[in-house]
Amino acid sequence: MEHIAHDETSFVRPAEVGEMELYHPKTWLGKYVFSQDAKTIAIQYAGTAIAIGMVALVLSWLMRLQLAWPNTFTFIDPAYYLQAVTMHGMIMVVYLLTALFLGGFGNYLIPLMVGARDMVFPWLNMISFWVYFTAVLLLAASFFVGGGSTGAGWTLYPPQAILPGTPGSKAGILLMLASLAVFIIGFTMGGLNYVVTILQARTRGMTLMRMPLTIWGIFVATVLALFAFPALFVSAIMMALDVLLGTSFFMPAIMTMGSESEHVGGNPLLFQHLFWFFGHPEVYIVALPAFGIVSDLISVHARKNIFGYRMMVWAIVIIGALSFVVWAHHMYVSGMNPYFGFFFATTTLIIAVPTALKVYNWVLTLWQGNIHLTVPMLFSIAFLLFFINGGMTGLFLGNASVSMPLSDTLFVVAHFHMVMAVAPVMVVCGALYHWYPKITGRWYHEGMARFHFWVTFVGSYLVFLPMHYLGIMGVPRRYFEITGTTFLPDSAHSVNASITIAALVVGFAQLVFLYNLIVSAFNGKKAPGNPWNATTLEWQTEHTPPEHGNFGKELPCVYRWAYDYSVPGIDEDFIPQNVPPRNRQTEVVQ
Amino acid sequence: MSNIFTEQPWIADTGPIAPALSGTEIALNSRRSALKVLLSVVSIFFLLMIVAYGGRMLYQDWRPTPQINLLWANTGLLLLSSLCLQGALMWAREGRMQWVKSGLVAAAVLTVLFLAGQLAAWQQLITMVLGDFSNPSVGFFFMITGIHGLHMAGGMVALGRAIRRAFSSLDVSGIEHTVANCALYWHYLLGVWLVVFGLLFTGNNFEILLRICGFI
Repeated sequence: MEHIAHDETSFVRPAEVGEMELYHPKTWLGKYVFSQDAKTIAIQYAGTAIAIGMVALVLSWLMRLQLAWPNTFTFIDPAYYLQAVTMHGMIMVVYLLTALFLGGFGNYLIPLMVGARDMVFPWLNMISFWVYFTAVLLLAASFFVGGGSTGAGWTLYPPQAILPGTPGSKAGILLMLASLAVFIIGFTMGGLNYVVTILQARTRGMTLMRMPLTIWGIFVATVLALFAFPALFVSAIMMALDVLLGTSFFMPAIMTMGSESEHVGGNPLLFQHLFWFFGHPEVYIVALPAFGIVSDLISVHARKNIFGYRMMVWAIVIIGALSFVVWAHHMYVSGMNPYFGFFFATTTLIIAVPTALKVYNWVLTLWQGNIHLTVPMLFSIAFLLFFINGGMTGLFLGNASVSMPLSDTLFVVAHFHMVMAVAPVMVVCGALYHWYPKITGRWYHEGMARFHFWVTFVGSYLVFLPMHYLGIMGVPRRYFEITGTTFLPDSAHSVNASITIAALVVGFAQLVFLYNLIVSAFNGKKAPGNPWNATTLEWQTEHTPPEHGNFGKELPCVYRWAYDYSVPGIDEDFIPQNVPPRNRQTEVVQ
Repeated sequence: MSNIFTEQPWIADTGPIAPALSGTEIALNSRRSALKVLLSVVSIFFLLMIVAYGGRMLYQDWRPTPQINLLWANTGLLLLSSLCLQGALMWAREGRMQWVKSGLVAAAVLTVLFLAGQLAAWQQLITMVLGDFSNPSVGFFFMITGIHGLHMAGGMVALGRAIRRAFSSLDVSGIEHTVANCALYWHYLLGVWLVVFGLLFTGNNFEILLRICGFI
């Protein structure tokens, strides 16, 4: 065994990557509010996303209270309930998870992990956050307008979304559409930055195939988002025009409230196609960054190189591409040509192949690894369990014939919460704990973190596993109450109540999580620069937390991939990406 | 150069690494790349609207938009503005600064005229349909031309900056990349307009295409 030789002069020229001009703020506002530093912007994105996400969490509590004990909480009426359902879904999917993964983790990690000083367009990056912030404000404003926020369901299907009788069918839906349009404009600004930074500003030696899988996940997800969000944007504009100008893109001739509407000849199915052309890739916009991050977390905390790196990269790319040709599996019950349904069922099942490869590779990475059951690793393992569970029920729902009877039941709700809500949230939590020492320079409170993990893990299972059974029994989703029915046994109501109790407890654990994150940032123990002995560049910065410009005087030079863990013949069980190779003489001697 | 298909990332470097790009090169490449990515996004955007238009045409109650001849003149204006930018780019490469300025200004004026022409076309259509927007094809017309116009107006911001730079600097080489990016954007939006105009707003061309494809 020997120490690795740092003989960079023998074989590799010193790094000399050209410098980019960095913005240097002169005022407090410029440094902390309108900052152009991607790390500050990342924290702003994360803070805003988590804040609005907490609103969505409270909305889910309200829904659950109503379902568990109908008519006990008099302030929850049917309209209120539908509004809570709608806003919870939209906030969680778009304003929390998308913004947190791409705006939060993307901003923080891309420049650091590819060895850049910052994003290539820092000013645009700053604007992108403030546009996102405006979108969140618009969305939040809809709670306070006359008629309240929209209650059309997060899918916003016309015609009911804009017909009288649906909560928020005037100002509520318009604010939602405006907010989505603004969000997409902001995201496009950010997305251009992420893609171009990854393609153009990687440091010397950081080839595409040496990028950590985190970056691959964020990169492909950003490309998906750039190509999928236009469909939502177009449909938002069209629906807004239907409301405002009386056009008939989606609105057919229809009787409403006893009279004929002004619309003629619109096609509601067109909206569904456009929405799901966005909606399905959206699942992977959330999932792919999670896939990437969890790959790195597992590798670092199992002290083992990721199994099948190239396969993992191509699986991400293939999943991304396939995600654009599966959208109509969300529309089996809308009525379609059987061959059409067959095509989409087939593509849906095909996408399971690269996804399963990834799952096998994660498990094989863990196999015989030196597994450290740190909090990030616990969350990573929990992710695997939730993802496998949610993925398996996806196979049921991908088949048109099985999907139809299960459509609009709690089985669907359980499936997508397992696969694209809880599973990615496990990764978010694991990732926040993993990078927390780098972001703040301090340790989180270990006890609170483990409490948070176990309550969230067990509690989430208690929420969503029984929901599958309720769905199979035929309990419909989005119903204000299911009392007075004969087809449901009393036990179904008891299960509903137990789910609610679990949901409240899980929600409480998230408050503990946030308390830990905030308080430990000031009072936590000081953390070293590379506490996990990780190989990627963000852990090799001169300062912790990294200063503006990320790296010291010179940008790092990359000589190897991000997964040199437990390399035979080396004392340390990791070799950072910026450590030069051993010179040949040393190798010969060895 | 590494190849993402053949590279074996688990093998560390054993020799010198290729030289890095300079900071200026990174910035220039980034702007060009960002523009290309943006144009890809814009392509999807218009493609979706065209597909939605075609999908709606398949229904039997489809009523096409009334013909507006002014659109032909507007197309000519956009074509000329694109040519002016191409000329400006050519002159920038030859170092003829005075001509570059003229080309840029002419392109800007022609684009403003194009946008004014589009507004006039809107006015004509509103008169033709007597303010009734319930015909989906009329809705599509306003939406597609409006979004195209907004993209042109957005491009005017970049063109305005290019003109300001051209008039405040004698250095042609510094402005070449900016003009090249403006030219690419204009050519691209001209292409989008030609597809949209030719396919959707000049008679029943799109219907013919749908028939050929067997959808009707």
